[in-house]
Amino acid sequence: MELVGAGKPSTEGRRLARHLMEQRGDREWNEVVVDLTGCSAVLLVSAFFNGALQEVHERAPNELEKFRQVRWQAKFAFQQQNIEMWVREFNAPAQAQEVLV
Amino acid sequence: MTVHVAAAGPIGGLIVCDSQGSTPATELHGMQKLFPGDGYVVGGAGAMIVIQRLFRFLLDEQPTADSVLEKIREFLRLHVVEGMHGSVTLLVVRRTEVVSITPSVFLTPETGKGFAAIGSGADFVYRALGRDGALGLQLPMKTLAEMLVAAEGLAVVADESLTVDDRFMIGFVRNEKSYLLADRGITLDAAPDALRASWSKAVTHYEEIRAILSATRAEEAWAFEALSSLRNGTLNATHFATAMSASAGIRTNLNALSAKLDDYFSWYDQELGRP
Repeated sequence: MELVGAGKPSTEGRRLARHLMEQRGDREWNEVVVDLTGCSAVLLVSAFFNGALQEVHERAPNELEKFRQVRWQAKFAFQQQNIEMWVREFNAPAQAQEVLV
Repeated sequence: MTVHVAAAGPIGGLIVCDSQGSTPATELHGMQKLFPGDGYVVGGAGAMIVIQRLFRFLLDEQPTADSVLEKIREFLRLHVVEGMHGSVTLLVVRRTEVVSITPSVFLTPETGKGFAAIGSGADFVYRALGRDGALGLQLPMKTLAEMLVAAEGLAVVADESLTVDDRFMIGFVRNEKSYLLADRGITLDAAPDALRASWSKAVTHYEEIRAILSATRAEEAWAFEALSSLRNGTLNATHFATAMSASAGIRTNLNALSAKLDDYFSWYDQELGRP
């Protein structure tokens, strides 16, 4: 199913996280696999993953540590490396809030 | 019509160009506008009929990085009527320099440059550079990966022109050798036989490199958006954290890009039977 649209990365990351929270059912977070191999490279940036993690932190702060165990699948090795770094280093709430200018 | 963006420094150089040809009535895409020579890359903007003939001339004559400027002069003198000399503008990247050849204005090439852009998209490139400069934004170009990020980013800016497309060809010069890489939609016309034979495999490397470049531009945009709160004096730690996260991504991307380019150069040398 296509879950990620063409909006801003942070918005799309938040939307995906909401969807995952609503749809995961009885599954543990470490059993959830998200296939991002069809997503544009311009979407899979820090803001996307920080947005997803921020959404989880705001909606279910106790879930955040377990949410880090979600398995993300990206097309290229550099994306996989970045995702692992951003998920590991996300530090709520200082990061990834919506930027207002 | 076209855009070529060239950069060079102590570690080598490169040219990024689009693939569009334009007539008053039509657009053509997938055109080869770079020629990979022996230790140099030549890019041409203007009359495609002259540029294609030049590339075939260079393929036949096989000049070196030392003799290529004289060979180009010879080509214009012997094969192109004088009234058409101004129909093309050329860039040559060799060793650590960019050379501009503008036959409509100068009788001699401008050597020793570190950066140049030519073609109908060049105005967009120089305007973008001017705007960045006015904002105090630097464009690091110490490594080949940084040069590529800078040149490709500026070529993307030029894609706003109706006469420039976003199918890019990239020519590199490193360690006295040239390398060509391109979108799979670009047809190779004038190039050594060994490269033509391997071209279908060469283009497969382009997709990941372009993805790294696109992701890097997106990270930059995201960081600049966060930091633009400076403009109304509301910059805070959250904005910095956003920029830092983007910066870490860019660092990973640049490392990945350097490694990917090294892999490509090794593969290319092997395919062409070069040491």
